Amino acid sequence: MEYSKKISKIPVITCIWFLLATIICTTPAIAETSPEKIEGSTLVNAEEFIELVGKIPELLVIDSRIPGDRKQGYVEGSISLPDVDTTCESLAKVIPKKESPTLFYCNGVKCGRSAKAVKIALSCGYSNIYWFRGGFEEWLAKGYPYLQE
Amino acid sequence: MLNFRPSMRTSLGLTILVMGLLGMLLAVVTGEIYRNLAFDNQREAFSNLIKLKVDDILATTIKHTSELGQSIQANDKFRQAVVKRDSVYVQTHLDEQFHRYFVTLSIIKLEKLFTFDPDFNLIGHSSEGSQSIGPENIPCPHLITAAKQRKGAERLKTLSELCINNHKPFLTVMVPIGGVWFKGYLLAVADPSINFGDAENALGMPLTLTIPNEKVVYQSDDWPDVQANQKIIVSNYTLNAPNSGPVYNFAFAFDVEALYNKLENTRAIILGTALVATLFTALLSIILLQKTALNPLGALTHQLHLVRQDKTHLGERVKVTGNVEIAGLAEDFNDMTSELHVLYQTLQSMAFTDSLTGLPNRALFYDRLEQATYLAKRNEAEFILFMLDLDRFKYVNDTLGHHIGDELLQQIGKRLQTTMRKSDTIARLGGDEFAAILSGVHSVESAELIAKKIINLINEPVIIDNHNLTVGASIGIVRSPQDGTDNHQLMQRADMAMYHAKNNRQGYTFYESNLDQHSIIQLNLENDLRSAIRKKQLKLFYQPKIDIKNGRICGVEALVRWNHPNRGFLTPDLFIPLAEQTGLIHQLTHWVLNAALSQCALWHKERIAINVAVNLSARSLEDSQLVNNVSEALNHCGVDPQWLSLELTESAVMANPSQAMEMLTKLHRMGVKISVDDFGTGYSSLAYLKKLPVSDIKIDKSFVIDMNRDNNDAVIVHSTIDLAHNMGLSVIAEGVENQEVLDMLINLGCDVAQGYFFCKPQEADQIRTWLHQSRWGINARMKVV
Repeated sequence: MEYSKKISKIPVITCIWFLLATIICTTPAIAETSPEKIEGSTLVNAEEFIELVGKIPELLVIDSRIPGDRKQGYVEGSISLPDVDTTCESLAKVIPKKESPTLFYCNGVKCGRSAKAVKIALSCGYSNIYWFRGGFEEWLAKGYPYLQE
Repeated sequence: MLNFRPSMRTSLGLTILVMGLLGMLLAVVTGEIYRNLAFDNQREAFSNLIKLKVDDILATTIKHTSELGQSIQANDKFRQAVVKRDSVYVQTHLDEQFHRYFVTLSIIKLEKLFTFDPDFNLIGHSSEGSQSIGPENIPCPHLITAAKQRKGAERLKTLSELCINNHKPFLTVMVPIGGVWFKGYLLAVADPSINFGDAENALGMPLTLTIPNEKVVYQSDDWPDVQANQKIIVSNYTLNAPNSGPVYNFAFAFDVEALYNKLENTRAIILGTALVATLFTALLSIILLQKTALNPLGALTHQLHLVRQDKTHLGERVKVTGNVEIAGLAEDFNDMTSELHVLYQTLQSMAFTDSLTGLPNRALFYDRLEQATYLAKRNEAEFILFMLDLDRFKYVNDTLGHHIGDELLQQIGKRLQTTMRKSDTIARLGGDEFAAILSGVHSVESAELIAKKIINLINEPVIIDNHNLTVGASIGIVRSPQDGTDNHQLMQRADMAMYHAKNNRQGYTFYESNLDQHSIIQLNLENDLRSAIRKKQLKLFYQPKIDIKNGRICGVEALVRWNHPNRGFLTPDLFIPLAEQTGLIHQLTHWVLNAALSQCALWHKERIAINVAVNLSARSLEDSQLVNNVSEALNHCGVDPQWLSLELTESAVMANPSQAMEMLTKLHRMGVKISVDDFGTGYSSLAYLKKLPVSDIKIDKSFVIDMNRDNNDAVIVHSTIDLAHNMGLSVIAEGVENQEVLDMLINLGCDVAQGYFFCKPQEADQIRTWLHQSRWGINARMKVV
């Protein structure tokens, strides 16, 4: 009786383990998706981004990704400022004026870095902020050219 | 003409065999079609696979080329040179890059690099690579045309095109230079054959790559001889470019030996299954046929054979089995055999029953007799055979008519039946003849008792239509096995005994061997008589008839004698009955008539005018030729009919009065005289004779011989003469042997006398002498007509 009781506990424990593992693995994915839009900024896609450059040649493009991600390729002319380093001070170094047109991008919709940077820039008082939410993923998928270091 | 009649089993077997063979042929043909179809499907499947793989390789090559373009422009100075239109730097950079990438042959085989500004003005191109390609001759010009038509963000996308240029395939890829800050285009021209050739490794199959002019641009080392090997099929795929049509043809050879073998195995399995199925079907069909048709038909045929061999099997039913048609046939057969059975029984009863009396007939009697003799032969059972003949039946039949005769036979039949035990057989053999088999009776005493009983029973008067009829019976008796075990012998002996009884008026007679000897004598006599007529052993004797009134001869009676080579002279009573029985009587009568009339003619020539009398048998009256024969004989001998008298016994006349009447009337009209012979011995009456054309009657000698001593005879003779005279008939008295009788006859007024007193029957020569010498002869009065 004792032996059979021990045996019967094993599947129960296994099931609990699987359940816990599933919950742990799925939760972060849901949490990392960036918001649909950010109040105070202009949301653009790849084509609008290219049009924007045609209209505003002085547009400042900030790549919010960490350097490791940037090695995969980047949009020509973009300035690397990872979100973790983004502050009002660091922004002030790259953006000349509060009203200078500035676009933020990162890896894509699941990457919260550009959203974070946009929010920081907005909070710092920058008024002409563009957010390329699709990011590098969209850029690549649509076959637009990029540079690699 | 074919005369082949196969059995149902063979027919069915052959049909199934043919069907089976057709089925197998179908399987083979279907297998062949299926194999080709399978190979086609394989080819198509491979074509699809090749397409996928080729598309994949093309996409990879474009990607790699595009990446090359990205890599080339990663240099900031190059990008700046493009912006500045620095063609020297650009060309230098492109040449550098060309070398760098040219060594990576396994990825891309570069042919040329070009750089354009955003308005497609050439900035520079690599000097390395194919010399046949230059700014004036850029492959796939459609690519540039298409690129020029693009606007906005579209211009930043990579374009590619596959084409044939100057019989050579090229892949051109156009990559934008710069990013959102667009600076121009980089055009990479490559030869993709090396990349497509790599498909052999990707698919693991030998490849032959050709371009539209059939030129082989790549072929695997292990490319097989596809013509020689059936187990290798080739799958083709043509890669088309949108603007230049077919660019490459991919031919992959793949080994289908496994599939081929599998199909062969499948075919073998199908054929084997078809064979087994055919055999099984044949067996099943034959078993079914056996059960539903052949066995029931066999039963029917067997029953038919039985019936054919033995009709008693009629009415036996066969078991109704088998399918609907055969069962129907069996039912119809059963109905038919039942009907035939009834019909056969009816026919049999008709065939074996005497329709008049209802007694068994002759055929059935012989059958029973055969059974009885069979048992008697084995000494298992004894029996007694009665042969019975009615006396005076013919008289009843002729005088009272057939319906009375028939009624009489029926009554007698009933009486006989009541006398017999059930185990006995009493049959009517025909006419008034009956026969009986008494089984288990062996003592003479018992047989005698039964015979007496029968005779008494038959002697009892029978009353029919107010006629009180009395008939008698004569019975011949034989015992088996003592008197014989042969059917015919027994019947013959019973017959003999019966005739003996009849002739001797004994009622019944047991067969004895001396009767047999008598019959053997008769048999020999019959043969002798035939030859006697031929060999003229017969002689005519003549006895004179004396006219009492003038005492002279008026005629002679011709009497036949047989001078038998062994037995000497035989009198008519010894052979006439035999002649009557055998039918020889007609020939005999014919001979006698001719002989007598010839003699008569001779006498007439000698001026001896006498009448000649010839005796006719009762059987002669049955001879339809008699009248003709008489007429011919008279003509032949030249004798006038009035000189011929025909003598018939009264019983002969009475045997068949109507026939006698007809015959005698004809003879009478011819002028022939008719005499009734042996008058007084029969049952006829003068009243009846009066109706016949008779001219005289002859009183039987039994009345005449002793009339001088027996008063009764004298009275009979007297009254007969008186009655005859009253009826206008002459009277001849036979058997006159003395003067006293002659005197009495003279006194009684008798017309003619005949007898030994005048002359015994003698041959013609002796009679001639007598005629001349006797006092009764022609010289008595010398009166000649």
